[in-house]
Amino acid sequence: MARPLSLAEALKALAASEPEARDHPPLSVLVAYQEGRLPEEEAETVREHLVACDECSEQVLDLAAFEEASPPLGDHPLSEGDVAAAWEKLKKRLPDGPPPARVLSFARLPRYVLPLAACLALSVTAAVWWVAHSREVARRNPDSLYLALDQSGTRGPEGSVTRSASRALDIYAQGIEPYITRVRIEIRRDLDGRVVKSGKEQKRVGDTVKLYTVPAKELEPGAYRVVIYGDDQEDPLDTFGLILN
Amino acid sequence: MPKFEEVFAEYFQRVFYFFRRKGFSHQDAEDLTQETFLRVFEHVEGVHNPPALRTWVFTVMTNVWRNRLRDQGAQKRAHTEVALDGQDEVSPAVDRAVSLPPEQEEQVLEGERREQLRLAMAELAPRMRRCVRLRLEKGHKYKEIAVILGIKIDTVKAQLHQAKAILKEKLGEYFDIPDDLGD
Repeated sequence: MARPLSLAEALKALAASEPEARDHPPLSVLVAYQEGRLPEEEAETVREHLVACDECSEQVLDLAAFEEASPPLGDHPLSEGDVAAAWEKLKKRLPDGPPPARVLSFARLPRYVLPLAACLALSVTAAVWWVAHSREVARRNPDSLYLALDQSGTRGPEGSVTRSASRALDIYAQGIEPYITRVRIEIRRDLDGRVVKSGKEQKRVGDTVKLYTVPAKELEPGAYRVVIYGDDQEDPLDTFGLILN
Repeated sequence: MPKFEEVFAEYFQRVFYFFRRKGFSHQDAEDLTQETFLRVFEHVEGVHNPPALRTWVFTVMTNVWRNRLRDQGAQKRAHTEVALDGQDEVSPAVDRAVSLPPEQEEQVLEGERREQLRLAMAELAPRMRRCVRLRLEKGHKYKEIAVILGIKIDTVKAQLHQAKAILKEKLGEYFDIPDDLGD
């Protein structure tokens, strides 16, 4: 027999012969796991993945350190003066006014633009009002869930959404480009990727479409991925995490 | 919705420490933190509740980090991380950076030893097996294992201590079982 081999080396060699960990959980699921909000079955699946996946385990460690807010070993904690100085420095680089500071300068526009804009504004006012009104009504309704798509690639808030499984949920998508004529939705179990519900666009108002109604108690509590597709494409437009408690 | 200045005050240190932990110099960490908050500023009005804001700041921060690594042409995360704590140093034998070349993997884990190792690991309770893999295969410290598995650090130590005895009995004639596994 060859020389005694270190157990650590042997385990690394064994792991190297196994298939690479895939199907990384979305950040929303890792956050829920790190905060202890995942049902135990889901948490076990995440744990098993973390043991094999350096990338995701590092992300969980980063999340924990981010929550802890303590300086790394060997660093002095930042003082209030440090934070104030950094704020002053940042302020100089910020655009004036409240965020988001996207101010249109009319003075620099050609003269025909304002009348044209006025006509356009009149023609779309009704539609805009209707969209705003619909959204406002829906926002007041706790059973409506809006998923804001960002197809430019610069995602906004990660879709970590927690909802009660005992209440029906209307799922809407915002930010659907007008050239996308058909939209469909799949709700997949995060545990194994199995599609448990799917639906198609039911009603479009501007860039907002109603995608699906999750009937009360039809989905068990747990972690899901809401995947939104456009025009029968194979690649999703966007994916969101959905935690049902 | 919180004011941007409040968001900055809440998260500035966490973001700065994140970049320091990733091995950036004080000056680079400060620059990357500024860049993170400039990007946060662009969309801060779209975030309406504190948990979403926390996750989002984290997302922006990690994107800034990855972009910097990409810009530097780093294919791997080459920066040396600063330890979460210095309580339990990892021995060279479990240095996570070490990986064997493929031909050596074949040589060292052939036949019976491979099967014995696989069996012994499979027979360990799931929690114990995970602790052993994270400790020996990945080279994590006790505290890191506790965070990754969501258990107490004392539980990690106890699991590794028990695992050491079990593995010594089952694999002692095939492998060197390191002393720092669970002591």
